Amino acid sequence: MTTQALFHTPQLSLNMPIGNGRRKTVELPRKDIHPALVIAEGEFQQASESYRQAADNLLRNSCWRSRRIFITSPIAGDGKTCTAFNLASALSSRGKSVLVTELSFIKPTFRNLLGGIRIWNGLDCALRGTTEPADTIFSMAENGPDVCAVRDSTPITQIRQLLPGLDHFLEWAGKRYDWVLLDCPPVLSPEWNSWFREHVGPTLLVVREQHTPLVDIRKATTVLGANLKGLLLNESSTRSA
Amino acid sequence: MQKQSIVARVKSLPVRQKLFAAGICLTVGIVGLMPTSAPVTEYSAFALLAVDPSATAGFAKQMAESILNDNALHRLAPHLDALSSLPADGQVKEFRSRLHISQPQSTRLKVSFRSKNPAQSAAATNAVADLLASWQPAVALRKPAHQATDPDAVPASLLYASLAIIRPQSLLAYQGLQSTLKSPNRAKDSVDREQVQTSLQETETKLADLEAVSHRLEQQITETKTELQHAQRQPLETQLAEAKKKLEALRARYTDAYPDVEAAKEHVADLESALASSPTTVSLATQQARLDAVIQEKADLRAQQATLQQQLQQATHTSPAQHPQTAAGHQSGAPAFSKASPPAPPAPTASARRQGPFSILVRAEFATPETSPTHPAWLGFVIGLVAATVYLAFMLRRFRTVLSIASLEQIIPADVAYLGSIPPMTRTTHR
Repeated sequence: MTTQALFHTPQLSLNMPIGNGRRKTVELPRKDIHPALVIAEGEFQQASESYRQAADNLLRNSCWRSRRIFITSPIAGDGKTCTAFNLASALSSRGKSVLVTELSFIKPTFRNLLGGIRIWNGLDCALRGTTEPADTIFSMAENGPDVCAVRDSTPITQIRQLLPGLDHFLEWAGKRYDWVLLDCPPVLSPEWNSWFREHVGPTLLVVREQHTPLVDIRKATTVLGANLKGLLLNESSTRSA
Repeated sequence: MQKQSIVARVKSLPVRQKLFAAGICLTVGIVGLMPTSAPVTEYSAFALLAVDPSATAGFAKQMAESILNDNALHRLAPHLDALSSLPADGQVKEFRSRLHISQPQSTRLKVSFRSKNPAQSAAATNAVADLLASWQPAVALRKPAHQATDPDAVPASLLYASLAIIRPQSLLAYQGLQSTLKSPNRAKDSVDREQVQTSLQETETKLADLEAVSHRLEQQITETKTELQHAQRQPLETQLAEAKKKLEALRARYTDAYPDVEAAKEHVADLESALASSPTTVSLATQQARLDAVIQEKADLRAQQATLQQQLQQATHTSPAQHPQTAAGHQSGAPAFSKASPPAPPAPTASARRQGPFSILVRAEFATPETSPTHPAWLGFVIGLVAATVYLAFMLRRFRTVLSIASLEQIIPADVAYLGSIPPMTRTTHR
């Protein structure tokens, strides 16, 4: 199934892990998907084209050779999660195997973006050791990216107990996928804790036109330092070259 | 660089900053409202008086203000501690500024007085109410010498009615009769004119006699006082003169050390001290007795004046009342009573003359604090809004958002790759 065909089917088939190595196909109506995702119902040719251009730029640039991209933004609401999904879809359309991983443990959003689907096993379950990493990943159609979402919200005080296992998961994912996109919390939020400061790698900063304050972008640039490798402007009124 | 609307910029502000601006607005607004309950500095008490409409002719407030003239207030003002330090003119002026008279109804008169002392406020209010209630037109019967009797000076408007009541009744009657006689539309009946003229002449004569009697009595009091003083001092002065003569005679014959001379000196000194220490006025008992007699005599004279006043009043009443009748029937050939002509001064009723036009209904018992907000209530909100606006403007400047990639190039390091810009996600549904 081509990407165009993927975008025009009324329903999206999700191959969901339901535990003990079993999987279940869940039909997800496109109308229930968040409209900012290119896989949602409707025509997003211009946006899809822009994401594909961004994916091409990503593939051309040598600074992303670790193939693990931390996607973050200065503040909440800049569209980093949608960018992660759409960029993963664009990379998938280029024939790459891509895993989108949610790292927002306090306020997980993947489930809501996908119309409130049930997550049997999430990343938090794998990090707690209750399930295998492979049982936390579901695929979005045949040529779509794989997704690893967080099942339950975790209090900020218990996040430290989850993070030690994240290195192992990322190492496992790096071996299985060409690209691993990590949807991280905002860089200026309390969720951007010591683990992110220590383990952050090449980072894509997402900013939103007429929303993200310049002063916060400056702060985020300072916090990320040399790990900041790329920038993406969301909801821009001017088309990029 | 494209422009961004203010609304969009405010919406793009972080929620925390917007809440903070709203908090500033509310806080400053609440703080601004607090000075409205400023500490009370003045108190106001009020008394309510009943007004006899027939006696005041609808001008109760003007009448009360006329009664409370400078002379009346001059007697009240010095009793207030707050005004005692002021000069006499200032006292009256200050008293009048604190005094407020209003007429909520045609039959009610409200008197209030402001003061920093609530007790004094109530006391002053009651004093003014008592003054108004005790005022009786019949008391001021004596015709003042300085009052103009020219009827042409009398205003022709209705105000004349109330003013005329306040004037001494003899003058009122005199002017009423004079205007009646001089009016071409009124006094046409020669018989009435003769009667009124006769009554007027008699009244004037009696008034003149009364004045003469009163003046003579006052002179008698003065003379009596002088005589009394003289009668007490004269024996002492005679004795002193004789003692001095005796001393001179002794000095011509003896030296000062002679015992008779020393005795005469002591006698003269005693007399001089007695003369110096003697009272300059007559004894109280004698004076009081004479004064009582004079007062009694004056009271009799006033009663006589009141009788005369009644006679004059009747004459005033009778004369204008006859004219409509005259125009209507008795004197058919005479011109009708003109509506434009000034109405005759209404005579006070018998009850008004006996009781006065005002009577106290409610006395001032306590003073209530005067609430005078130092700041209008809305000022706090305005200050709050201005402060919040200034804060928002500052925040808008501080939190300037990304407007284009050009604004990002200034703050993003050069080695950061720009992957591209994503247009807004607008879709066309297939439903």
